[in-house]
Amino acid sequence: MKSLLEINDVSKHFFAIKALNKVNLDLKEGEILGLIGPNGSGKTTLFNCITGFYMPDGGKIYFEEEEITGLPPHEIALKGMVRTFQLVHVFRKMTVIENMIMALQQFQDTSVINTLFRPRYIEKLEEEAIEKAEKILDFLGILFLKDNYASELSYGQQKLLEIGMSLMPSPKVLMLDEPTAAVNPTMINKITQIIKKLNSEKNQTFFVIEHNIDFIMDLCNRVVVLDHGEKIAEGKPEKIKEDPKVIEAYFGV
Amino acid sequence: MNGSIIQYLINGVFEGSVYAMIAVGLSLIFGILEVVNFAHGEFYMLGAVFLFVFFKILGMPYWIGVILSVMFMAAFGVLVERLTIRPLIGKGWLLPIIATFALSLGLQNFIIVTFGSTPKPVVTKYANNVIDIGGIYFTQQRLFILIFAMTAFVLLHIFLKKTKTGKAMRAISQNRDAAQIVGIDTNKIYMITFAIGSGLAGLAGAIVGPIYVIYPTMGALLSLKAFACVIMGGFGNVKGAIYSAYILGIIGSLGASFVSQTYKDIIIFAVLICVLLVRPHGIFGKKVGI
Amino acid sequence: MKRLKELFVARGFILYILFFIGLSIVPVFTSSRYILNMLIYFGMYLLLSMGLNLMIGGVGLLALCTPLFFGVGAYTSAILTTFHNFPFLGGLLLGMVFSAVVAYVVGILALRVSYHAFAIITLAFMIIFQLVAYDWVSLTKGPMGIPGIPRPSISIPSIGTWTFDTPTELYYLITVLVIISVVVFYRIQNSRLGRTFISIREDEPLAEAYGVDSKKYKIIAFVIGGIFGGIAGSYYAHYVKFVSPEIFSMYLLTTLLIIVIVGGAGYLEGVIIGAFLFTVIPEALRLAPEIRDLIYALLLIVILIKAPEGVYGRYKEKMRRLVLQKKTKEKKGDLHEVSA
Repeated sequence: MKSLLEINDVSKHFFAIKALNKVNLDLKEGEILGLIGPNGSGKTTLFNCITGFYMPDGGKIYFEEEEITGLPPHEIALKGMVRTFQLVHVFRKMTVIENMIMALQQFQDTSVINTLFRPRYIEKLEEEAIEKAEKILDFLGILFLKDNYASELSYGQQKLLEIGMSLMPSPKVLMLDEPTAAVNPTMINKITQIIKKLNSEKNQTFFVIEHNIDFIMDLCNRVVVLDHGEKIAEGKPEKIKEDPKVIEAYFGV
Repeated sequence: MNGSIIQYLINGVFEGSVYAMIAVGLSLIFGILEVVNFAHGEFYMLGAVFLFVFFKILGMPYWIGVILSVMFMAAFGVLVERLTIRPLIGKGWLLPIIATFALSLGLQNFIIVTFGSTPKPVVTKYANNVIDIGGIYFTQQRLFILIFAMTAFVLLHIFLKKTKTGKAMRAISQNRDAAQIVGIDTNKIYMITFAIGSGLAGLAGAIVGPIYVIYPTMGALLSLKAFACVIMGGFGNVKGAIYSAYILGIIGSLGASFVSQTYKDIIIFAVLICVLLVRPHGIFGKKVGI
Repeated sequence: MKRLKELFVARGFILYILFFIGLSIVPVFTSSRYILNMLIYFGMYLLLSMGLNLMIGGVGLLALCTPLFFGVGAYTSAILTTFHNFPFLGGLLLGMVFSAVVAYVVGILALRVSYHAFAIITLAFMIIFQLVAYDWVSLTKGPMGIPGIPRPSISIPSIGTWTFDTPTELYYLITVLVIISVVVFYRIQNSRLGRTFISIREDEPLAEAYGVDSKKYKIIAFVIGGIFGGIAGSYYAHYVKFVSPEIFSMYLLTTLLIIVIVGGAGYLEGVIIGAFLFTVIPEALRLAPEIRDLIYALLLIVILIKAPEGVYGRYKEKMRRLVLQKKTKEKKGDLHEVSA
């Protein structure tokens, strides 16, 4: 399996606090990789370093063999790495369908000249985007909400929209930051099914941060464990569950 | 020529003290409420206006006038916080800034309408007492600025470090949500912050007023310079703002001596822009805390 | 052709057509200098506030330097046409170019800092330019200003020269500029570019996560605002025939802010309404400038607290709620189906 993402010795500190200390990991194509660890262990910090929201203080990050360390977030996104955020983020003042189009917009064309001076070309792109969006919304079961403003959706529906948006650009890697946080069990189940389906049918690669251990056990091929900014374990979920170092990190025994 | 440079340096220190007194309040308000108070220069102006009312119109002794001005300004600050800022606190960063911008112009125009726009002199005997130390001249009034500024900063430092309220203020500036969870009454702290900030600005106005003249827009350019200090020092970093204030005060004064008086202001802003080009978070970095 | 009409009519563009027609036929009904002058100011305020709206309502940045672009455009036209015999269109074009350059430079510098500091820095730049205008006497004639700016005239060789001299002619000139500008801003608002701006305003990290280079688009918004500010400034110089450093005015800024906020930030319609309200009403009330500005300040604060979305924003909210109510009534049965 090809290694899509390679993280070598990545470190990040904030003033005196070492948030990440020489973390190494890699993400293989088609796998669902889980990232767990107690609160404050650096999971979201790692995500932010990978996706360009933070500049790492040390180490290198490679995506498809190309170095992406320190690139701005929008460039990394356009290379095919899409991420979600911990608390659900959607464009609240836009409609659901507009959110979906917006998620694909830049991936279709970033030229401002084209946007303003080639209306028919843009019209075609919009139609393509709407078509794809409707398919995805239907798959997720929220097509009926397409003309509602995102702010009118329930939390769970917004989470689905968020996932829908992340699928629009057909990303090579989909990075989900705590997709089940504050979500009811039915929805968690639904999200699990969605991820499984996308992974088995479309070979979609996932990198997931999660606290919900059952979710991780059920879903992930491999798990990486962080504690205090360092990788303390890595391997199959069953093995990780028994690992004494992991147990100590979580329960301090 | 040598004596001249020291003279300009001393002038710069005095200028810096004024900037600092205003910048401190600005920095506190930003650090704790995350609000950019465009009206802070007008608090300074109102301090001078209050002094004019008490000292000149009502004929009270100067120092009584100063004390009353500070008290009234602190109260006014609380009023502003309650009526204008508090309702807007949760609603994003844009609304409060526009509100304080509107407040700034509103206060200027209010004073123009009520007092007229002609500058009014406020003469105290200190403003006329010139002290001469080895060829360096300054008036007693200017010396007071320095003394009051330093005293205020020391008192503020002690207040923030040692008192319960001060610690609460520092807590909020670092993490508002955590502070609330721990049970800190953020509303009360906001009020106190504004009281301190506007009190300091008012004090500056009451002391500086007699040096020049008092007019409705006297705070406008000054507040911009105070902003420069706050930005250079790192938003929310009070110590940084104070250091920057003195740096800018001295550079401005030296600039005025070597280049020209008009360009003094341009130089100050040019310095700010240069600093920001190199270090967008200010010389002393982001919120290192109060 | 039919599809085009469908597109525009469906999007409410018909109201704009009516607006343009309305503007154009005013001189048929009146040649009153007073009314035409008022509407000319409406036009200039509109040009300026549409640019400001692109910043506040578009990308969500508080830019406090629109009068800067106004002044740059005005001074460029003034200096070139009065001292160097440039034609009006040349001055206008170079006014636009210089405003764009200034906007670009200020934007690049100001965007390096947080959005709070951005507001202060843009204000600082305006003050700097004002100080320079006072001081660089050889270029700007300092505090005395530049008088005697010629009226706009367009010469096409072997056809003739049009000079815009009478109030009616000057009115038509600004009306043409207004119509062109409104069409441009309308196009932007209803295009992908407009959507990108809003995505930045709404949730910048989210936009970045989906490939939006927020810095690039913020600069674009800023430069566009700068260009139209410069156009307004150019026109102003020829209309008032005098330019001084007072043009970089804080009072202009408050008026523009109130137009955008009270009208409805983010909506072109709101800005048009706001610009109209705050040119016509103050004229009708004939207030002293200090009292007028005092009222503006109070009004702005009240609106920020009570109705920050502005007049048009309120209207849009109401419409949305009505549509939603209708939809909920229809769907009351099947709402339980796929609730998450």
